[in-house]
Amino acid sequence: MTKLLTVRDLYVQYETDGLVTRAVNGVNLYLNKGETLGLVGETGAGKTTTALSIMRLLPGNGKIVSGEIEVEGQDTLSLPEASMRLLRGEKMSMIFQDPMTSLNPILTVGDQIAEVVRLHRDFGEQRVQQRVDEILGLVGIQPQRKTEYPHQFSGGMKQRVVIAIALACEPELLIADEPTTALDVTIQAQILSMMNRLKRDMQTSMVLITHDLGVVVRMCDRVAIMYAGEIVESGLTEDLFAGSAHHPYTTGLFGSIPNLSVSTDRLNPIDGLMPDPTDLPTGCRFHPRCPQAMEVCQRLAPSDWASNTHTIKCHLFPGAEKREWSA
Amino acid sequence: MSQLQRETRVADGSLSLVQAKHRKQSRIKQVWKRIRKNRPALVGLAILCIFLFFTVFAHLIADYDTMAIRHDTAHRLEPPSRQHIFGTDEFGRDIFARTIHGGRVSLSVGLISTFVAVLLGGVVGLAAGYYGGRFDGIVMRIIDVLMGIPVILVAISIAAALGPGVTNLLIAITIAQIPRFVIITRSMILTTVGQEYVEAARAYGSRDAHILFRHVLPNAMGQIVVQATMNVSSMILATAALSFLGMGVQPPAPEWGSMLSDGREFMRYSMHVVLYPGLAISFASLALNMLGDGLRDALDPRQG
Repeated sequence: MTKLLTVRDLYVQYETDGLVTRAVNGVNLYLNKGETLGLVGETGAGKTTTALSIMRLLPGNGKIVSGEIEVEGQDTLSLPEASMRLLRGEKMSMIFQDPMTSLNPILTVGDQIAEVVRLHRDFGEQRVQQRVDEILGLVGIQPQRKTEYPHQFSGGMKQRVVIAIALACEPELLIADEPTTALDVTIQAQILSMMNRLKRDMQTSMVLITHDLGVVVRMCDRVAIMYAGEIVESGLTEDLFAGSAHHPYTTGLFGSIPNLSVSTDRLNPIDGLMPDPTDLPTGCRFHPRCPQAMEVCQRLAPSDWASNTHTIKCHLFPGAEKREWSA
Repeated sequence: MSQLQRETRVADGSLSLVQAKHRKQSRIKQVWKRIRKNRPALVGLAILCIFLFFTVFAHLIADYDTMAIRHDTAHRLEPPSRQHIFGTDEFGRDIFARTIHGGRVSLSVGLISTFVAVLLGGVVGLAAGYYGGRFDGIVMRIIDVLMGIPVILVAISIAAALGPGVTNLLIAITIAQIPRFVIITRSMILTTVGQEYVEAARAYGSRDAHILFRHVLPNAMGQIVVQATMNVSSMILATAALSFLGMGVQPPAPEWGSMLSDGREFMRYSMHVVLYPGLAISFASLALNMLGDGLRDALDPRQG
């Protein structure tokens, strides 16, 4: 399989009033064509920052300090802004979290979809409108509704419109930033299965940002777990859900999901909070909260331990690595 | 490109133009439809139209030289009658004629100064709000200082420096209100730029100018339009105030404010001298305020 997206050693920071927030600290990830990669983590783990860096849409005070991002083998970080603009919407699209606010309230939805098509396709108006009807049909909205305004749509329908805008030019790469977080559970299921279908039909690859592990298992081929701006564990979805070795943080995440077959009085959250990104702990970022922290964790940042498709960034594993090799 | 392709392309192009035109027309139509349903706005519009009619055709309705400025001492301070429907002033001039001719100055100063101030203030506010940074900082500090001085005081100092006259009055009043529109535009732009749909537009590859004119400005427009229409009425009042103070229109030319100022000596026994220019000012302000309110609602598609 060919790689569509590669992110190497990405470091991103925000500067506000001389305070440096280190949001992304050495992220490595790749996405094969046609694949869905789940990017999972708590709020503030750097998921959205990673996505915005890929789109090169970081806010003014955000800066990519170092690292490489390649889309179809092309280094996008060195592209001038004008060429980058041509890629957005055409080759890569992004769906934002809140459909309520990501549509312009004073333009009809048809107009907003047509806008992307006009920007990237040299179509006459008739074909633009044809494409609008077509894409509305694909996301399950009657084309007649294209003359309506966003406030006339429900939340789920709005998210369909947002998806229609993102997919109007059949991009190779779709970044969906928590596309269903603002929706209720039944609508969530509808939207997810629709996205899956469209992704398959258009052969689009997807980075799905979420903190819902249930969504991950439905949608993703591979998963990367983020913590404090690092990917602490990544692998095939089976590695994460069925594998035996895990990063303690992943174990904690799974442990905090209520189990249907066991009755408990309380949920089991991970103790403590995500570290302050302006003042990250030394060594392993997770050690202050880690139940299995060792002395070495405070001093040294762990390196990746890999077994086939599964990668874990934890000091518990270099030994394990050796054992597995000998076994 | 083959002949056929070229032809389809031309056909497509003209079609898109037609459709674009259609869309624009239908938007104006839509706003009009909403205005029509809004009774206060309609009343405001009607009053304004009556004012415009009388001021535009003032020279046909009442001759300027013989009725508005020629003294007729035999008919001083006459109460309203068939001959002089608003009565006459202390020099025997017809107050109705003076009111409609005075409206030319008051209304045009109010409208033109606001229009220019919205344009100039808007451009500065737009640049400051959209690009931010050092430019924004410098502009806003200057505006802060200017805002510390009351509008009327700024207008008075400029008018005093430039000397009396309608043009100078217009310049003074325009400059005095620019800071307001810089602030209004900037704050509207700031709230709109922060919206997710602007980020979304960037994410599907829109250019800065496109984002500005298609997404940011139209969304900010409603508030600016309302502020502008309401501002026209306060600028009519400011024009009146400056003329009242003797810095605007020079006698014998009529103007609502100077008519009030000249008439105040006679107000005790000949109320009509100040009543009609006063009513003209009040009704023009009221009409503009009602229309402004209606426009804001009409420009927002969420309002039915």
